[in-house]
Amino acid sequence: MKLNRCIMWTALLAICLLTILSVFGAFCGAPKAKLIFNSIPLGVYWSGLAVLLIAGFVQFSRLLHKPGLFMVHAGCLLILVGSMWGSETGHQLQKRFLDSQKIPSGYMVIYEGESEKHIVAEGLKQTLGELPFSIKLNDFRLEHYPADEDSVPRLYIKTHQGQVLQLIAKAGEEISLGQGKGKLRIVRTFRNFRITVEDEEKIVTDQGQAAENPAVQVVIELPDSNSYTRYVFENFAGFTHGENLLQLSYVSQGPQIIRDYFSDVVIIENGKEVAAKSIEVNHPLHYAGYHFYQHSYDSQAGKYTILSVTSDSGLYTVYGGYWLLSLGVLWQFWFRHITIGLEMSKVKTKVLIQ
Amino acid sequence: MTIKYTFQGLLIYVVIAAYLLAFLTTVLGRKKTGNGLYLAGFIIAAITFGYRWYDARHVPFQNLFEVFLSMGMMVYPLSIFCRRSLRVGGETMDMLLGAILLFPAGFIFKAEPQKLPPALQSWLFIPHVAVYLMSYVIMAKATVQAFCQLKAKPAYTDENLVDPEIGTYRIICFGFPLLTLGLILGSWWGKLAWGDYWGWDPKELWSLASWLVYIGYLHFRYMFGKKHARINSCLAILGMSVILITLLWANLSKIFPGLHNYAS
Repeated sequence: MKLNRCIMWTALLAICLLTILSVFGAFCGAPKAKLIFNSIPLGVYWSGLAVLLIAGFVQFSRLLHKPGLFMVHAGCLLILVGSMWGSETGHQLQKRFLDSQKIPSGYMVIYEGESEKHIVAEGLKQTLGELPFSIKLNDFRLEHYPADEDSVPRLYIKTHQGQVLQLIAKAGEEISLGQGKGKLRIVRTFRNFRITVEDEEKIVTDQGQAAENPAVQVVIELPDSNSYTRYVFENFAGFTHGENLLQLSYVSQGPQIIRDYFSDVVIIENGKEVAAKSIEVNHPLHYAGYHFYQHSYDSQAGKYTILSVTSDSGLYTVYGGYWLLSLGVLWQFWFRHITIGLEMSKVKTKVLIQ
Repeated sequence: MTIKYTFQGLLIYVVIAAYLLAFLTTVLGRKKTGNGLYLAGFIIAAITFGYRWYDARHVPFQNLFEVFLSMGMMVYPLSIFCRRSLRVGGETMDMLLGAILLFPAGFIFKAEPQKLPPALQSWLFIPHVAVYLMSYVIMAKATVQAFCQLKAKPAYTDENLVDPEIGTYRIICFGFPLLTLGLILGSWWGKLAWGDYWGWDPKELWSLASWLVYIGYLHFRYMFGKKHARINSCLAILGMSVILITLLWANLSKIFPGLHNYAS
């Protein structure tokens, strides 16, 4: 009995300590917390917790006879063992004792049309190792949400006083620039602005449906009845017009919100294409003990993708633990009571019949 | 604090008013009227939830406005379930709890619908958030029971109902599997979306801390039963305090930057 009490108190202390450490880790931020929870003292703590769980199984027959309690505690034990096996220290130990060459985690930068097999560290400079196969990026794509129906093209005008005015960019719309400053009128909008020179005359045209160079033509009418025409290009926002220091920006549609990222890749092993997948967020590629995730991309030109790579060592043990823990809590706290309730209602019915 | 002059805002204010009126009439002894108002409030809350779903074009679990809107709807079914299945009362306080839960949606958080970022476009989005929100509402009800126990007077006099200490325990036992599933589903989703089932993100750590407090509660109660009822109640209240930090402080404060910040 004394030992049982001792184990329970130790368990309570271990829970209390982990709670305090979790709160402390939350204040430290993820990178520092990761270091703390993967440090040697915490390694000792995790091992101690695993031993404590095993001691619980040995000492408390209740844990073995109640399926719910057994699954909960066995689940926690599996999660602990799996996560320790998959940690960086776990990988180092596997390398030392089992001659495993697996790299715990890293990144891959792959250009379109090229193959890559090197895994690099977070700064993308230091090489951590290479995979026994290579990954070729066929294409990197971005998918945007369609523009909102209520988003209309707008012209933003920053006046001399720093005031920001906005105007719906539609031919004929106009706005006052302030008392004694004149007004601004929209003349024409362009989806794809082009300028050509014919017979020494500049001709402005709107070419094609693709919004490659959206622009708006405006006329600024001054109070002294002078006026001048200017073009405002969406791709060169905030350009200042020197004549009266107006800063004009044109937005032809609402902000484009990214819906998803896709990296179309093929795995090449011994010169042969052995697998292909379109990696996207929530849909990683799994091959030869590694998971490949869409991590980042070339935001300027979309020419390369950055994949994060993680080893799957210990992962399925952790997943096994998750299943046991989930089933255990559901059994212990929900289903057990439902079945007891059903049995009791059966007994009551029998008594009533008799 | 801003007032929402929209149809959705109006519906939220009607629900808050219905819940508050239900509370007042019940306190004044008009129990039937109170129950009717409580049910009416729930129906309008469910309509508001459905309207928001239609308007945002995704299940309204994305930001804190939607989270509080959803939780405000969950209180009524929980009250009914607790009374009928767990024999735990406290509906009068639940009415007030419903109004409190809807207050941030009505007056604090912005209601503009947002598009789902790539990471949230997963089948795990709905179960992960739904089980967490349900568990939070359940644990909030458990906390009310714990306060009743600490005040040493039951909130109700019905003989069919259990005392607040047992009520707290039963509700926690009911909510704990959901809290566990929320943590596990989140971890599984983290593996699919970000590459790791545990990223030591501040919100993950606060979630773990809240789970551990309830683990502590269950172990402590197993060891001592009702012998230290006040400590049991204090642990239940501590668990809810950590949940509040997880839900609000970890999302809103700049002290805790992390992968979960889109929730704000």
